[in-house]
Amino acid sequence: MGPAITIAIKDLALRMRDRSVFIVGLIAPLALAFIFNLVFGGAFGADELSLDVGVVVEDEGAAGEGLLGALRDMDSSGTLALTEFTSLSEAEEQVEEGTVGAVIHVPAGFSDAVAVNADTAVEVIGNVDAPTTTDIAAAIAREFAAGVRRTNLAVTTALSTGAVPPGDVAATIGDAASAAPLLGVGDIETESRQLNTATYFVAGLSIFFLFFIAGLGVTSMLEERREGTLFRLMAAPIRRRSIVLGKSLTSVVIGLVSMIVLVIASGIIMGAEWGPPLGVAMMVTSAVLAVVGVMTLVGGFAKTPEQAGNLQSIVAVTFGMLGGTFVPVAEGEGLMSSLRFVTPNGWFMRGLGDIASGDAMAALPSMGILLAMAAVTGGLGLALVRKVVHA
Amino acid sequence: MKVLTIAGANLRRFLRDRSNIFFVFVLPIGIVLLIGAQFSGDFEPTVGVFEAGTEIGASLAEELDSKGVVTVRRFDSEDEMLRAVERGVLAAAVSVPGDADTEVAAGRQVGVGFLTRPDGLGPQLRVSVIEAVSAVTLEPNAIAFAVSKGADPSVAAEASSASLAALPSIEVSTRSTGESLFEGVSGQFDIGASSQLVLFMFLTGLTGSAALIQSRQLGVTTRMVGSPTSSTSIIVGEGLGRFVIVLAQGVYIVVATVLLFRVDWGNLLATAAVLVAFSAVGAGAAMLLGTVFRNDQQAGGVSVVAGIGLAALGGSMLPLELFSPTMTTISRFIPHAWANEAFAEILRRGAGVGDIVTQLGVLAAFAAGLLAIASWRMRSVITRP
Repeated sequence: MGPAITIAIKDLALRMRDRSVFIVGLIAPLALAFIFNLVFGGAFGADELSLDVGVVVEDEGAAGEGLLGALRDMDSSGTLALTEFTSLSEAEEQVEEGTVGAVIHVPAGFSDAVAVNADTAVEVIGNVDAPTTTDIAAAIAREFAAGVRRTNLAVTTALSTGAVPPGDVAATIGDAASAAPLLGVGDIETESRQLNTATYFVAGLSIFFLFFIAGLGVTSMLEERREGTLFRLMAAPIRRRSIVLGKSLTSVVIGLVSMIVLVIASGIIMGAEWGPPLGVAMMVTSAVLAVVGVMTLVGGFAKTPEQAGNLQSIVAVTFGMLGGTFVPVAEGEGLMSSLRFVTPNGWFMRGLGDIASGDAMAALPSMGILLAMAAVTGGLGLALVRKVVHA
Repeated sequence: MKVLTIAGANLRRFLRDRSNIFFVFVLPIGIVLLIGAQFSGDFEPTVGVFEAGTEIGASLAEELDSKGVVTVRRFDSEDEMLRAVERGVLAAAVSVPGDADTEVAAGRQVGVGFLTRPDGLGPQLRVSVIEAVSAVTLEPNAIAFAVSKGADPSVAAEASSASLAALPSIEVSTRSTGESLFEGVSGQFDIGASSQLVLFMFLTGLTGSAALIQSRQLGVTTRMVGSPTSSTSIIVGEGLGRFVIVLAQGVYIVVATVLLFRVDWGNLLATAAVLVAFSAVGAGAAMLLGTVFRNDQQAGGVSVVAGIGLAALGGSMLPLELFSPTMTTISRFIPHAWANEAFAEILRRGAGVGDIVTQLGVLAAFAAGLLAIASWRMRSVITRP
């Protein structure tokens, strides 16, 4: 073990002098996460979603009044921002210009048509660039229409049973309209198991760049072979296994240090919330081991340091893409979503998401899979790499 | 002629590097494919329903499913369903209490649980669920109301189904106005193609700066200076080399996306003009980076950060139209934004060269500025030991 540690310390000292490890391991992920957060954070932020809805009520009956009342309630509760128009053409103009996203139009004679059981219609005019607002306005209009029909059915049913005398229609409509529907919809309280935007980007980019520094062990062994220093090491009274071990140890230490610095720095600079420290430590350690394993295996196929570097970058970029480093998407069921679980990136992100709700032990399944990946790829990788010190 | 020889040598060196086969030729197309796949088909969010064995739950799930707006997945365990929402596998979940049938039959109010994710789709899904709920409770509501007015339940049930047949329909129609963000974009790959074109042209240019540093490290530059070649020829030759590489990357993506994905690049003259102008910007940036760093590995790291970071700030990862006001202002200082804007005009609105003069002018100014600073730096760097 002694010689392995000596070799690792020597390699670490060499890497410290070469500033590219700092650029790739620290500056790159932090800078890109900061930029991504600036660009995407503003666009996807839930608070920024403002629903500018307009309404034109030409109907003079109770139904039109009812819709206006409901919309005004939503306006004062902050669900949407309501603009009331008096003419349809003016409303259409504002939609076209994008001042309001969508307008709900209740035509004249709407209430009268409903009263005599005649078919009628409500129209929603939306701006093409405000599909969400248009969808929501259309949904409000449909819910309004459903409410009118519900009241209508309740009143006609009550009348035809004879429970209500025909003279009381007006009062009955009022009763039916104000009766609460039997089935209501309420919220279920729960924790979100996905990371917030800033944390997502830092975490995704940290593991992405981790691939580039985790491959350094194998690459440096190939470099030493080319420069002839590996043969001097082999002539020294140390076991060949110690050389391989020392090189792998370098990768693990650099990976761990860079991840720990990133976790702390991103918390201070960007307010990233990684979750409970114990869980984060478990995830980071197993991710570093898995990535070093994968990169050792990939580097094991190479004959020169350039080849190793190229193969490793290709795997890193491909895994980064599949693992969702660049595109923050919710887990779905498509092929792409399944492919992410071939990569350490995918499991790292999932494990972090699981502990985001505060339970460090929720990381155990993802950690187990990462460690299994580390064992399999690292074992195969070391077997391949050993031939470098035997030739 | 020496200028062309230097440029030609640069291009050959670039094409011989085997790692470039992946990063220059395979990766851009792969990403365009990935982005295209996300825009394919009609996206239907998945909503979980826990029916709890109730009839009302079953009809609620059926009603939600029949609208074609969401895909419904039925769950046997409420916990499992809620976890799926927390993980993001489901966009929302609806939970019906086990006593829903009996309570509704007795005319008592029941609450249906709704859980959604804190992202943009929540409000839409909530209304879809509310709508489905009012559709399936239309009759029970009417019966309960009649009963509350003193009618006999079985008489009320008969009366409500008779009245339901006569109930008028209220149609809700939707139409759109205004100029679309994606108007004129015919294929699913068009959006990804132009934004990735801009990203990769610049990124390939920047990573090419490492070659400039290697030339100096290996002493190629010193030997060129020692030969009867003016430093102007060397600088112009190296600059032209970068330019040709960036342009080659751009032309490759255009041709490949036309052949593979049938992307319509609109007015070819206008597209070519943007390619040339942006190649000059990329060449200038690469020259500058190559003169600022001494170590090719450092330059490589900075290239990746600058290449991806500037692309994000310049609207290659998120359309500029969706930027916040502050970010829009910042994007004005990024060449990518002007190139993306020019492509938006060409691809969406069928613009010709005359319509994108402003964008071309700004790109030319960026290129001139970068090339001027880079040439001045080069002059001192190539003669340095």
